[in-house]
Amino acid sequence: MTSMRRQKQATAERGRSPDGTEGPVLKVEDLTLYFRSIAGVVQAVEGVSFELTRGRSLTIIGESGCGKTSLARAVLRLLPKNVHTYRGRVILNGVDVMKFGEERFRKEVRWRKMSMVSQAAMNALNPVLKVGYQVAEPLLLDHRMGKKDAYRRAREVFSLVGIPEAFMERYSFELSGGMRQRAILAMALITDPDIIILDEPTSALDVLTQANIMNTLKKIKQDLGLSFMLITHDIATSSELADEVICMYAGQLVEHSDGQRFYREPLHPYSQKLMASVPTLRIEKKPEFIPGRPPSLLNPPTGCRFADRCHRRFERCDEEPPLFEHGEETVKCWLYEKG
Amino acid sequence: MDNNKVLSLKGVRTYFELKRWGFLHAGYVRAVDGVSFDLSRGEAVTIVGESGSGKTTLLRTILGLAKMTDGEMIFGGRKLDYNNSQDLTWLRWQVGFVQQDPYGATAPFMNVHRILSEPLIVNKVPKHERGQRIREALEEVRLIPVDDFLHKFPHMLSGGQQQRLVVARALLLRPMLIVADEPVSMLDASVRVEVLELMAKIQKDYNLGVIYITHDLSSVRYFSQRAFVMYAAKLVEKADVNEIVNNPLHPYTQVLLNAIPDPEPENVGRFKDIPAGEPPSLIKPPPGCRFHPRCSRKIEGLCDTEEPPEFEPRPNHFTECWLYK
Repeated sequence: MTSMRRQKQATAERGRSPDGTEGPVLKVEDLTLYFRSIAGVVQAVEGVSFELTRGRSLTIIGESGCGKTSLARAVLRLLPKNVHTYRGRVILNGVDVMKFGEERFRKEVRWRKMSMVSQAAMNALNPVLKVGYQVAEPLLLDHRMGKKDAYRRAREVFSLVGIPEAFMERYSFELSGGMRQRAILAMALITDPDIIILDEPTSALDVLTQANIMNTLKKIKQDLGLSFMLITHDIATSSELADEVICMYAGQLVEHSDGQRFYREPLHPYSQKLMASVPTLRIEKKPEFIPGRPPSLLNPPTGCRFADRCHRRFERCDEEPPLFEHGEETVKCWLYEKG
Repeated sequence: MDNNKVLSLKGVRTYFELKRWGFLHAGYVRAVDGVSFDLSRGEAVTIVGESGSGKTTLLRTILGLAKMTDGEMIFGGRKLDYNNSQDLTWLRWQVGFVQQDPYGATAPFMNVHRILSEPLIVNKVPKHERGQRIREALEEVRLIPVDDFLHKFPHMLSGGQQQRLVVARALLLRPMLIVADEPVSMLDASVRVEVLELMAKIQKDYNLGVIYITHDLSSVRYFSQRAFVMYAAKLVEKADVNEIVNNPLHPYTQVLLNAIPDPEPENVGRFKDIPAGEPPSLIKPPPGCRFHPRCSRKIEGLCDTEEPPEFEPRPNHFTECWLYK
């Protein structure tokens, strides 16, 4: 399948259903991931469910250790060896890919349908291979495409992410941080996936470079109709790609809201506190902090996991809250219980 | 003499020599190129700049870790001679340093007590005084109850606690100045403000000078009084922090502020205006203003040939840009 056709197809699909009436591109149901460690079982991700609509972007925010990277890895099944429990359903384009064997998942899903831009841009490239080869590698290893076609496609994605073609012949250490991040993005784009998972794509970069990469991502999203999952702890940056927002706390999803709403009026007390802690440049508002620290995931509290630090705690909070619907949004908090 | 001044830099330059084959001179990296500013007691300034702009070298120069090539540094009324080891020892006593990565800045095999003893031993504080000083410092950064913390190792502390430990260590010798290199960039949003508030309180209580080095102006804007913008080894704009935020004059500052996002839903689908190109090489900086190749408001024949001096278009607002001639 040539890339041009795929691009046209993507555009056509967007034209047909701009409001996303067709099924979600990704549906995650009750995804759970526990790790074994010397100290016990770490409950990194606990029963997370969400849907991602085609052509939309979803931002997952939370503090370090809240399980957001584990969630991304669980979706893409890039797991370390010490997995204790891994269950739930990952439904991609209507197919439950959790049922696939490792070999089939690798061949049909990972990088074909979902790819990932990893966190450490500086170290994610191989210093002894030319950048052009590294970007074309997913296609070259696949044997579905000749060398010539693969490199032609690599040139296409290079121009898409805004790297001059001459850089294909360079090595990673000759590139600046921003260029390296773009090269990694090109690597994720080359197989024409439906979803790209961006794990802290800009946290190691300067403000100007960061804004530049964000511009590129928005353009790609607009032109190709891709779906993004952006994982970040930087809430200000997250708003740049947030059609929808998921806020995580201590391994659990605590709020899933529309971006338009979340940044104005977060629902969960944790989201409210988190938003209040974000410094702003243009709005005069003195940031606050959240006292205390998140619970250990080795032995999390039985009730609401945020209860100890919550400013609106009441008796119900000793019990674990389910996800309540509040209009379009879902919140894991007893305050939004109906009736 | 102004007793209130902690630090005064005049035309400070720090160059690193480049060598070819190990001995042939091959030029200089002009990491800090003519920086001047004054810092009073009880005042906090922020130096904002991108990586490679020379802000860390400036910090190292102030700490006495990099040798000044040219210029003058007056610290606490004393003109410092970098070739005099007594001066350097005294300087390092007077300056506390808060590193970026708290875990990397503390030895993993030492407990809190040992980590805090180290600077006291090195600086020959008598043994009987040490315990008391350590306790005071820990109480100051609110790592209380102190006895619970004294025997913990860094990995047992949360990120915020680790950073507070580093602040405590910087305070131990009761310095006149604290230099903080991206003190909160490794911390989570919810604890950043806690560390910054703590530093602001210490600054006030001890009447210290504080220099924050950061690339993110929004996080420190409420905790410093003045801000300096650094681009390609020079301070291109110096003003009150609110003045910089609300009324930036230098085109680079305008671009930089424009790039910093605020958490607003409108950001989705809004493209930012970012100038093309990268900061110039510090080995061979462009002639004239260093920002001119990327500047949208450059004046042909002036910006690309002559280096702009410092102008003061508004009271106490300095900028190195020909637009304000």
